[in-house]
Amino acid sequence: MTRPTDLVQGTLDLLIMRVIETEHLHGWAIAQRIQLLSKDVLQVNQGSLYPALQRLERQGWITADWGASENNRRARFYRLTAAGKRRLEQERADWDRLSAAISLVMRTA
Amino acid sequence: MRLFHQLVAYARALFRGGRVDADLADEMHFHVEREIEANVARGMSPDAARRAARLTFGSVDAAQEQSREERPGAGVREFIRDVRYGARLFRKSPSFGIAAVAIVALGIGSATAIFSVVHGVLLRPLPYHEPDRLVSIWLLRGEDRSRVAPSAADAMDLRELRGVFHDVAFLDNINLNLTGDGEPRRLQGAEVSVNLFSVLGVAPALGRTFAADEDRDGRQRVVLLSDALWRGRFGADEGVLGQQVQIDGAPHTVVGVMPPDFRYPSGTHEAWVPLVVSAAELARKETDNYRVVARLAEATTIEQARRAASALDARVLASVGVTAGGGMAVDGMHDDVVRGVRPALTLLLGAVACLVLIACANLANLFGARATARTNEFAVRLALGASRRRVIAQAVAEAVPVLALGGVVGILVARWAVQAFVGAAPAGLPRVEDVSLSTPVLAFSVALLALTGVAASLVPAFRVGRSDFTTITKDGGRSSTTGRRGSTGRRIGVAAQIAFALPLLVGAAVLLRSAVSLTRVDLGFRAERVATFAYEVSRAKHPTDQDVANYYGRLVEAVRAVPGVTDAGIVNRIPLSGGQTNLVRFERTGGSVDTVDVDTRTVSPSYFATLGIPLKSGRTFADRDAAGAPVVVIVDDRIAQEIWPGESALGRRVRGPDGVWATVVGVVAHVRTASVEIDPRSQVYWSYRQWTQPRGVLAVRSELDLTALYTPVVNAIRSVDRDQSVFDVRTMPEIIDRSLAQRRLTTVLIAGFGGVALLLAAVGIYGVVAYGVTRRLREFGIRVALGATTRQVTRLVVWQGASMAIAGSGVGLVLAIAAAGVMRNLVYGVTPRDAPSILGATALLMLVALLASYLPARRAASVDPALPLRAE
Repeated sequence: MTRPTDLVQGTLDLLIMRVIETEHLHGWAIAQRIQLLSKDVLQVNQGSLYPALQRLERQGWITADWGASENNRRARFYRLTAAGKRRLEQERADWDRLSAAISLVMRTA
Repeated sequence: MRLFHQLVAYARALFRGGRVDADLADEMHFHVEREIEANVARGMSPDAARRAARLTFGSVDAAQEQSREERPGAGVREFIRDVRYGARLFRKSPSFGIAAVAIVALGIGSATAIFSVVHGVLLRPLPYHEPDRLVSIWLLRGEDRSRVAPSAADAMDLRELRGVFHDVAFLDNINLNLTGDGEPRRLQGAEVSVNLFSVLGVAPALGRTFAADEDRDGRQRVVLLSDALWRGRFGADEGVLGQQVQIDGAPHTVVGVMPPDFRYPSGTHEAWVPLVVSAAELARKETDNYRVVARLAEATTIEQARRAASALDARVLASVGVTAGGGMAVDGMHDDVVRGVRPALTLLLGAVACLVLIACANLANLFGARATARTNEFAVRLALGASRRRVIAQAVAEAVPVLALGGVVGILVARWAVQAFVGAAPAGLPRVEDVSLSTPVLAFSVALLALTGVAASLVPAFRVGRSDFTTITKDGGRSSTTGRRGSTGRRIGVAAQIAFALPLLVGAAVLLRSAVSLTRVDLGFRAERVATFAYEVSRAKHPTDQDVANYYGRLVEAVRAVPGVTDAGIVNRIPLSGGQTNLVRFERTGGSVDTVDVDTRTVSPSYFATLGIPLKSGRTFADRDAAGAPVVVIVDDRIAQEIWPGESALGRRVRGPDGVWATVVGVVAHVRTASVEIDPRSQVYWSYRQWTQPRGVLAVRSELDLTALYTPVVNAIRSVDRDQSVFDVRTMPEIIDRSLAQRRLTTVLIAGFGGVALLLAAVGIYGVVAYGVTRRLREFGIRVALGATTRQVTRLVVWQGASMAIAGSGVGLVLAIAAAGVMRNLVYGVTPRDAPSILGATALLMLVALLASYLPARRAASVDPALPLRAE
C-alpha cells in the first residue's frame, strides 16, 4: 500500500468537502456517497478517509458532531464550516479550471 | 471562525487525547458494522459479510495510527514522548548526564553572574536626570597628571563658566555624630553644595532639599536623611520633618528624606548637610579638596568643557606664578564612577567569555560523541521508513532533559553567584547595589548553551542521511573510517578548549605573581602592630583651633596611659585610606620656588614613632611647635632629595596652603599613602598645633593583641568626652588588606576560572583520546601481536592528545598575548605579558594534556593481543 500522492490526497479532500456540502454525513456514508456518485470508479480507502477527515478538521474546514445514524446508532456526522464552504468554492473553481485545461490539452494536442 | 474551529480541534487533541482516540475507535467500529450490514443487505452470509468488511477496511490499527498523525498537536505529543525517552536515557547513563548538567550549569552560572555584575556596574545608566549630561571634574597634577580633587574656589570659578556648565555642585564626605537617645552614632554623611540635588535632577521622597541660602554661615542648621536612616532610626515616621536632631552637638532641622534608590556619593551615605565654604577657602588661603560634579550646558560637549576648564585652571595657576603643568579632566560621570573597576570587570568579562566558549566546546563534544554512538540506530530507523524530520526531532528531544536540568541548576548557580559576588564585593566597588540577576543575560546564556547542545546532537542525525545506510550498518563500528569526520570535529573541539583555557591560565598566573610582588612592597612604615580609631570633633564644643588642639593633647595622653599601649599619635589621614593634597611651595637653593602637589599631613609629635616611620635627620615635632611659635614642617626624604639634591633639607623654607613660610626641622622616610601599588606623591607634615583639623585618626601601637585594645582605647577616649564619636576602628594590616580587596577578588575569580578551564580541557582531552582508544582497541591488539612495544603504543596514543594540546596552545598563546593588554592596569611588579607566567601556564596545560592522554594510552598498551582473534 503506497502512501497517497499529493494529488490524490488533495483530490480526496475536495471530494469529501463536496459530498458533505449539502448533507451532514458520517464516515461510512461519505465513502459510500463518493463511490456511488463516481459510479464505483473511486473506491475510498478507509486508511485514507479517516486521516483525511482528521486533517480537514485540524485545518478548520470541517467540524463534526455525534448524532444518530439511519440505523439508529451513534455516529459522528461531519459538516462544512463557513471557512470550509469558502474553501470548497475556491477549490472547485481551481479544479474546474485545471480539468478544463487538461481535457483541452488532451483533445487538441 | 476558522481559527476558532482550529483551536477547538487543537485543544481537544491536546487535552482530551484519550477521548479523541476513543471517539475515533468508536467511529471506525461503526464504519465496519455499517459495512457488514450493507454486505448482508447485498445478500452475503453474516460471516462472509464480516470478512469482506474487514478486508475492505484493512488494518484498524494502521488507520488509527495514520489518523493520529493527521491530528492537531501530533508533533507536540511525539516530542513529549521523545523527551521522556531522553530522560530514561539520562537515568541509564548518569555519568554522561551529570557531566553535561554540570557543564551547562557552570557555563550559565558563571556567565550570567559576571555579565550581571558588568551590566549593573558598567552598563546601566546612572539613576539621575539625563545622566549623560553629568560630568565629574578633576584637577590634573604632577608628572603623571593624576586626578586630584579641586578646591571650593575652583568649583566656584567653574560655576562662572556659564555657557559651558549649566550648574556645578561640589561635596565632601564627612562623619556626623548623631547624639540624643542612647549611644552616640556615627553617620556617614556628605557636606554638599545646596544645588547638588538640582544638578543631579533628583527629588526627595519627603519634604524638600536645601534652599539656596542654607549654605550661609550662621543660618539655621538643616539635614537631609537617607531612606535607610529614616526607617532605621526614626521608624519611618513622616512627623520627623521639621523636628530637630542633635548632630555634632548642635540642633539640626530635618527638612527632607531622600528616596531609597538615591545613593550618592555612595550607597552607605546616611545624611546630607549643606556645605559652608569659609572665606579663607574662597580666597584660596586654605584649601580642602572636593568632589565636583556638573551638568553640561545644552549643546556643550565634554571636550569643549574640558578645554574651557583647563584654560580656567591655567589662569588660576598663572595668578600664583605657576606656568607649566596643570589642566583639568572633565569625565562623563558614569565613566568617572566606574573608572577604578572597569579594567577588572573587562578582564572578568573576557575570562568568563573564554569559560563559556570552553563549556560550549566541551558540551558539543559530549553530545556529539553520544549522538555519534547512535548513528547506526538513526540509519536503521531511516531505512525502516522514519521520516528525516522525525529522526531529527527525536535527536533534539532527547537532549532536552539534560539541557533543561542544566538550565535550572545554572539559573540557581547564577542567582547564588550574583548574591555571593555582591556579598564578597570589596568596599568601594561602585554601584554594587545596582547589581542584580539580569534576565536578558540569563536568557542569552541559557539559549547559547541549549543551542550548542541541540546543534551537537543534530549533526549525526543529518550526517546519516548523507551517507549510505549500508555503509554504516556494514561498518558495524569495526573500522574507524566513517568516524573520521566526527573525530576531526571533536579534535577541533578539544583544541578550541585548550586555546581558550590558555589565556585564562596566563591571566591567573600573571595576577598571582603580581599578588606576590605586592606582598613584598615596602610601605615605608611598620604596620603590623598598629590599630587606628577615626574621630570627628564637634566644632560646637571646641570652637577654636586652639581648643581642638588642646583637646587632642588630652586624648593622646589618655590613650597613652592605657595599659599595653606602647605609643599613640594622631594624623589627619592615615595611609591607604584617602588623601589630602595641596600645592606646596619649596624654596630651592638660590631662591627659586617650586610648586609641588604633595600629601599634606597634620600630626602629633608621637605620630612618627607610633607608625614606625624612621626619622632621617633633624627632629620630630615637639609640644612647643604650637600656635604663635615659628611654623615648622617635616618633609619626607623623597621630596627633600628632589628639591635639595645632595644638600641638607634642614632649615629650608616651605610654604603651605595658608600662605605662611615654614622652616624644615626634620626629614622622615617616605611612606606610601595612596595605595600599596601606586605612589604618586611625597609628604609634608605640619604640627597639629599649628595646622589644626577637626577630624582625623588616632593611631595606637601595642605589642598586645590589637583587637583586645579596642574597648580600653575607646573607653579612654570617652573618658575625656563621653559624646566623642569613634568609628572605623581597624588594625593597620586590615586597612592594607582592604586596599587590596578588589585586586584579590579579581585574582581569586580569574584563578578559579583558570582552574575550571584546566579541568574542562583535561576532561575534554581524556574523553576524546579514550573514545579513540576504545574504537581502535582491535587495531592496538594487532599492533601488539605484531610486536609493537608498550612504549610504542603508548607514544602513539599520547601523541594524539599532545597534538591537540599543541595545536590548541599555539592558538591560545596568540590569544593570550593579544589579550594581555586588558591587564595593563591590574598588574603590579610584572608586565601583562610576563614571560615566566606565559611559559608556566603553557607548561602546566601541556602537562595536564599529556596526563589526560596517558591514562587511556596505558589501557591501549595493555590490550590483550588475543583480543582481535577472539572478537572475529
